This record gives sequence, C-alpha cells and structure tokens, in this order.
Amino acid sequence: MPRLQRRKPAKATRRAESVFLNIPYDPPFENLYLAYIAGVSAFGLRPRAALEIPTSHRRLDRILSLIQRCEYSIHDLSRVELDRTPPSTPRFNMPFELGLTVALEKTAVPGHAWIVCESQRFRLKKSLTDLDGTDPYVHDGTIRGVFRELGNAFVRGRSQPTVDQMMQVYRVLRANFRTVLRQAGANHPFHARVFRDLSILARAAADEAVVGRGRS
Amino acid sequence: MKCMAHPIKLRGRFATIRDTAEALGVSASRTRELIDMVRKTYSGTELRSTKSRARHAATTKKKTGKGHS
Repeated sequence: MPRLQRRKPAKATRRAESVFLNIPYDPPFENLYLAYIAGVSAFGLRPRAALEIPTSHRRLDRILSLIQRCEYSIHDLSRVELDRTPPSTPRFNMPFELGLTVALEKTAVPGHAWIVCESQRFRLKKSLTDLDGTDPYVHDGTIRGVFRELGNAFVRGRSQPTVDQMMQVYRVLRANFRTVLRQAGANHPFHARVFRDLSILARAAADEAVVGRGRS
Repeated sequence: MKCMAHPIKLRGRFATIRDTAEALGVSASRTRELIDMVRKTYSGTELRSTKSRARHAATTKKKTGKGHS
C-alpha cells in the first residue's frame, strides 16, 4: 500500500516591490535625485522612473504601464517655480503624473499607495488645492530631509533603514557618480542608463549598509 | 486616501540586486561590474579608516607614551 506523503504547505513567496519616482529631472535637484534612489533602495524597494522610458509617441502609455506595475509611488512637487529657459514655464509633468496615479489608484490599481513630498510646508495648500486634506512629507530640500521623510512614510519591520544607513548608500552613489556618468558618456544623471546604473549601485550598497553582506 | 494618514507598511520582501537588475533590464555582466564598484568603494573606505586609526594611534603614542592596545 503506498504511503501517503504529507505535502508541506507551499511557502508564500513574497514579491519584491517597486516604487515609481515622480521627481524633477534638473541639475539643481541632482542631490535629491540621488537621495531618493539611495533611500528607496535602502528600504529594499526597486526604484522606477519615467526617464527609463525612451522618448516616443507611446510615452504616456508606457508611463501609465510603469505606474501600474509599481506598488508605491513618490511624487515630489517641490519644483513649482518657473524655469529659466525662455519661455519660462512651470513643470507640469510631476502634478500630471500624480493625477494619473490618483486616477489609477481610484480605478484600475486600488492597491497602489502614493505619497507627496514637498520642500516647503503649506505650499501644497496653495499650489494644488485639489489635494486639500492630504499631508505632504516635507523634506526641506535636503538629503537628510528626504531620508527622514522616507522613514516617516514607509515602515519595514526589522529591516527599517536608519537615516545614517541611507546616507551611507548615498555616499556610495556619490563616490561612483563621476565614473557612472563617464561610462555612460553623460554629463548629467537624468539618462536612462545612468538611472539604471545608480539603482544597481544603490541596491548593492544597501546590501552592505542595511542587510549585511552576502544577500544578493 | 490610504497613503497619507498612516505610514505605508512594506509587505514585499527586500528586493535583491538581481530583482532590481531584472526590473531595470541591466545585464548580468554590467550588474557584476557595478557590484564590484561598490565593493571597491567599501574596501577603500575601510582602508582609509584603518590608516587614519593607525595614524591616530601613532600620534597618541608619541604624545602620551601610551598606545592603543
């Protein structure tokens, strides 16, 4: 008579999660751009951004698809001033992508969670009154401020990174920044390849800084 | 809004380097290069801190006649 074998219940495999970074791509924002990549990676999340998407007429579709594939999104609305390039215009991409995200969260992707970041307290009440009742995370325009607010916005049990650990990841990005730019033939970090390289660097640095060596 | 009032509890596992590379479409060889860059950065930092510790110990010994054990 064949012996009945008890099957072990399948272990629930938890997925790695991604966060869509809706942030400005301009040189004055370079430090905070690196800070977001460092901070998000220190939380064990995969950073994704619209700059991964090549410029084409399908861009909007691909942005929507990217947001849908991310469990979380961070929308930094701290660049609301007019730019210097004539004709001077504010940047509409960030609020527009926030609007897309809110619409997706209300319809197709109800599980998606999003946060809004600002550099100045109370400015959001003036710049985007539709978000009344929504408290932005105010990072004061500083790297440590971004890390502090990420720590306020996200909770990850035992592996919650400290501001110092996120800063350690940031320093690794800074140490290799010029090399990554040179290797990509770029003079600023807002290129798809540079973003991808920085994300991998940040993730590898987070292994050292947050979870300890040997977990890759 | 589920996102604003309370912190978001992350339920997924900690993404590995491979997870991140796959999501971003980075090749295995480029991923290895980038991991090496990080390792070199960390070993450089350790080297510098070891050197500065040694220098500090030597200075202390010279001033006080006592060294760090």
